[in-house]
Amino acid sequence: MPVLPFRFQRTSASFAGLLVAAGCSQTKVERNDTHITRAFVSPVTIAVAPVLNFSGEFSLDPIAAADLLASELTYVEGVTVVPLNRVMAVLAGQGRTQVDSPAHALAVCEALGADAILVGGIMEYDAYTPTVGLILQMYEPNRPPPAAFDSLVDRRLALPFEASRMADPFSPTSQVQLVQNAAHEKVQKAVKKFADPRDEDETHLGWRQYLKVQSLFLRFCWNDALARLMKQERSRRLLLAGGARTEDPA
Amino acid sequence: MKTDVQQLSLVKGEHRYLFRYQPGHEADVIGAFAALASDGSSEFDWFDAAVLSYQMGRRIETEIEELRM
Repeated sequence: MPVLPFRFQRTSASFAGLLVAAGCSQTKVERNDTHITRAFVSPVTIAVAPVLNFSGEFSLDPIAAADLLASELTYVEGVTVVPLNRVMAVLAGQGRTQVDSPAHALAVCEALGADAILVGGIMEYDAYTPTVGLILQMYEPNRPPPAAFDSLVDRRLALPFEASRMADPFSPTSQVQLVQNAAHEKVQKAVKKFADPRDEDETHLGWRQYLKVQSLFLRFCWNDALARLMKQERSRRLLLAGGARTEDPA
Repeated sequence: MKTDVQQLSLVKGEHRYLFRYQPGHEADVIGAFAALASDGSSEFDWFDAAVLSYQMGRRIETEIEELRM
């Protein structure tokens, strides 16, 4: 599993940073190229729901897919991830195995005491190409209401549906949808950029294993979706703040 | 670009949601998804809106691919 050595690397880098801050000498600090810039000013706790399988592909394990999403979420700065087994425990207590509506997702999030919950859906899943189509939504139970709505700011941020969506407490605060086909050259370049810093197993396939192994490709897809979601979330928070540029921590 | 009427449908419980639209009016249809999902009296929720908007996006993508070939 490539994620374990990488987590170790990240921990090492953080620890190295602490050493430098404490005045210790440090000859080499490895640069972490795989993190996702945070969208939140203060740290947040986010839960991940079991993935909804709309693909019709029975080989897809919704728990394993959610686990990959939760794992990629740990690469987002400022986010603490609620362990998936806690989410499953809450669902089991309700006699369910997955969230069945946005209202249910929000209720699970509140039961967990998390700030937000991610609900992912797999729309297409071809393990051989591989190809993945997905949607990812974020729900927040206690989101702040939209303050003074500025249509000019809304237009500038190119979020035409934001104003109406923010008024509905059961709507996702942000969402993305994407399709990634490993046969496409553009996707292969993105996979290489994503996988190179993580390729510590040094298999003969190198970064290309992320194009061959479906679980690794799905990991790439979730990471890409999370990066887009966080970008959108930054824009939304900027909009909520009335366009104040100080809100964007990036 | 195809000019025939496009259609998206969703069966949920006892309800069947059918959206017919002309190409070029996709933004209006997404607006209809959002309005329906925001309507508390409707079973149609934001999961459904996401699924249908995904399908719409894929359809547009396929049409663009066909135009390129």
